[in-house]
Amino acid sequence: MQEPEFESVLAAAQSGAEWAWARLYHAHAGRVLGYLRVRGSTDPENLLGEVYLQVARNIATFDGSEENFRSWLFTIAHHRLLDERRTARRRPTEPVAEFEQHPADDGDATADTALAAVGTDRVRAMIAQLAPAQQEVLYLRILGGLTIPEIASAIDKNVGSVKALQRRGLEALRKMIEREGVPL
Amino acid sequence: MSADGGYGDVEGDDVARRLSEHDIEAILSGGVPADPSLDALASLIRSADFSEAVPGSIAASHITAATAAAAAHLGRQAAAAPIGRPRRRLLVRGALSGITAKVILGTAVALAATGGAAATGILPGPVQSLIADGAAHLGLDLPHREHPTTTTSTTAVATTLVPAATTTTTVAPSPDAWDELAGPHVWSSTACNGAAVAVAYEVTTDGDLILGVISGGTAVVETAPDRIEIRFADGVRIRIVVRIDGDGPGIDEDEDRNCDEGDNEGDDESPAPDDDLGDGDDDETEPPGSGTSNPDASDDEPSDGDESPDDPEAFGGDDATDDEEDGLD
Repeated sequence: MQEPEFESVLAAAQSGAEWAWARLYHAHAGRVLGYLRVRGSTDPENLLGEVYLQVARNIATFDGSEENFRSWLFTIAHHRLLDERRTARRRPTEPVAEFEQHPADDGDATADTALAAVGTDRVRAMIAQLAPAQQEVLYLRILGGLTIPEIASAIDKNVGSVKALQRRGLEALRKMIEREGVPL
Repeated sequence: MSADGGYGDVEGDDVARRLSEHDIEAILSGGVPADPSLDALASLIRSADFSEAVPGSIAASHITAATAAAAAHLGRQAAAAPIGRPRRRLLVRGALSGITAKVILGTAVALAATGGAAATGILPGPVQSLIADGAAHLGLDLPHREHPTTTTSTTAVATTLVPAATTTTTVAPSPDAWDELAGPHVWSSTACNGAAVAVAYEVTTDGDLILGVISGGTAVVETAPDRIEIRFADGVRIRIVVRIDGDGPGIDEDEDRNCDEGDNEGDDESPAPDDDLGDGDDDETEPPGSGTSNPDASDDEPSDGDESPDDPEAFGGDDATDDEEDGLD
């Protein structure tokens, strides 16, 4: 049932229907924003807007499932991040905050939410210790749900390299857990 | 740890403990790995939720901007521009050279992009109306969709514009410094009534501004090659300027707000919430897109990340440098 629904949303978005854009936005923007944040964007909200603007410009030629759409979205987000980093590198007055931590949003979160936030922060802190390429691959898989070939295309690596980065990243995380211990 | 501070490859005895493909997929897909020693890792990753709530006002501005951009793109497709864009743009720029008059260059760009569609009134309502308004300044008579031809009820209001925010983006001087700022940009904010407003624009590699999509009820648009000024009906004005000074090329986004009273000057009686102008970004070439999940990028020309945007294989074009920064092994 998901496919026909997405197909109709996509068709409506391609024709400029605001409800469809709201649907596409609310379904994925939170994850994209989280991805941009953990990957060190200096202005993730603004970058999120640029991502969706580019999606809007090219939506007419998109054809695929919602999973394909999400992969595409994260691929664009990845590229916008690279652009932002290049710009920041050339602008010494505004260094990139590589691993900016963000507050856990609202203060009236439930206990479960707070616990989840603690777990999320811990995972983020652990992943932050990995090599950047390993981080990229893991985040694109975990947050974006990209497949190995999709990640390979997005970061311009071959499939074997992506698999190796993914495996090494997870093995390093396992080692961290064993050495440092992670309360669950 | 590796020299770059990250954890590197598994070494020595750990080689024997390499994760299997099955366990990797189980961990990353939220499943249960076959190896019980991986339960902690799998559980940890399962528990993480990296998504963030997007503030409502930001979400609204993004959605309106995306909707307008899609509509503008649709208008361009319908048009099949009978007159080539470069030629039309040169004519307009020649006429505007050196002045910052109340002439709508953005309209000319949109006309070039939408061509016959604007002439026949088939564009989406807000796009059609805004283009028709602008075309009048250029001596062209195009059909309106939403604006009654007899309107323009101006309410004189004593206003004091209060600078609310200035965003400045600069880069160090270099021969091709505009390349670093070239590409699509979006300014977004919230109008006094809480509605989302957004302006998409593009900086060319020559340092010119091209107006893109406007969302949120446009009142007055003024453009010049180095400046775009838009006054929204609800008391918000945004002035976007490209300039070169001692700090090098830069973009200034100066936002003024006057939320005491509605500023209806120059607005018609029924401002549409989604008034927008045809996307001035005419540099798009359509990606083939047949069944592709990666039509990223026909807009990527302005950014320096994707030299061959239509080719999915070319994503992240110059990732050779990325490898260096990412410390790929």
